Amino acid sequence: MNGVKPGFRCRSTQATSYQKRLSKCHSTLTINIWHVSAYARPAGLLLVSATRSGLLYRIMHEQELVNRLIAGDEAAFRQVVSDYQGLMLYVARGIIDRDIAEEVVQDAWLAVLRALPKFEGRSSLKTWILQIVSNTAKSRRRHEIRSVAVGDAADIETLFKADGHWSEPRGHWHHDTPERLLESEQLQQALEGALQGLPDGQRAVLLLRDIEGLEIDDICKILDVSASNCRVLLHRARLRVWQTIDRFEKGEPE
Amino acid sequence: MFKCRDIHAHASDYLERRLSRWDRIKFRLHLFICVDCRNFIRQLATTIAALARVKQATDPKQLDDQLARLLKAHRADQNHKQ
Repeated sequence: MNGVKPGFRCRSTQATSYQKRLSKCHSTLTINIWHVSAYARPAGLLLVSATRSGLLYRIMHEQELVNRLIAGDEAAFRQVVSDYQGLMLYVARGIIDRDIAEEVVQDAWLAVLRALPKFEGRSSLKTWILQIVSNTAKSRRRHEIRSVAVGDAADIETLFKADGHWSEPRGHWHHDTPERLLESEQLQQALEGALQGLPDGQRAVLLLRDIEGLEIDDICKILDVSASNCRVLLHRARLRVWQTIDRFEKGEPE
Repeated sequence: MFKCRDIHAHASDYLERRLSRWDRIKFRLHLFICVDCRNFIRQLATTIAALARVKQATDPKQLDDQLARLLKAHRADQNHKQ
């Protein structure tokens, strides 16, 4: 250990940066604990330490990855390209025309590469990279004001009667848990098909929210859409996927 | 009072707790009396949970091409700095 204590105080600037970020998170969590009753505080403290170690793991893991990228480590490049290339393309397509999306992703990668030494970990690496794609795409867009076409809702008219009730009873699905749904290879293919068939805006929001788990606020910034626009896009995309599974469960062709 | 069509329209907002308190009460009242909508909400929640487990794979050819371009650009940058 070279006589250095383990922990965050051992290394110069990088360690100071971890410490700052952790103490910021810790102070927020500490305040929150005092809102819970005295009996629940020990559990709350355990939660804080677990959250801290999870956050610490992410920050250290990402910083290590960034250092490897800066050093030109091929395996690190393979990892980030494999993790983010598809997502970046879908985000770019959600912002600009399909035909220049690939070009935008290419430019964004170069921008990521140049900006890597400045990555401070204030957001996750994923959000940071997606924000760069977003900025690159926005700078290529001709029109400033935008509202993403929300796309058609899943065939609502056929689902409901004129009085607003379901036109046919909604039975249970045979595959009634996520695990059981994904067990079926055919259904996985149908899901993949449904994702590919979504309009670009809907697909970008659905991927960022439901598959990548980003917050709505971050998605709005990345895709440059209003919160209400974002919610409509998300809901319509989910309904389309739901309808795909529903048809599959009923044995209807897509 | 909400109808089934309204449940269908506001389901995501309900699941993500973005409905106003009054709308949430109306929503829950409808679910209480309507088994079809209860099934629908369960199915939509299952759909969302299943999506969270879907992994988007990058096309291997696209991955290799992008990787080669990126490494080339990185090395050019490094040489330029030196």
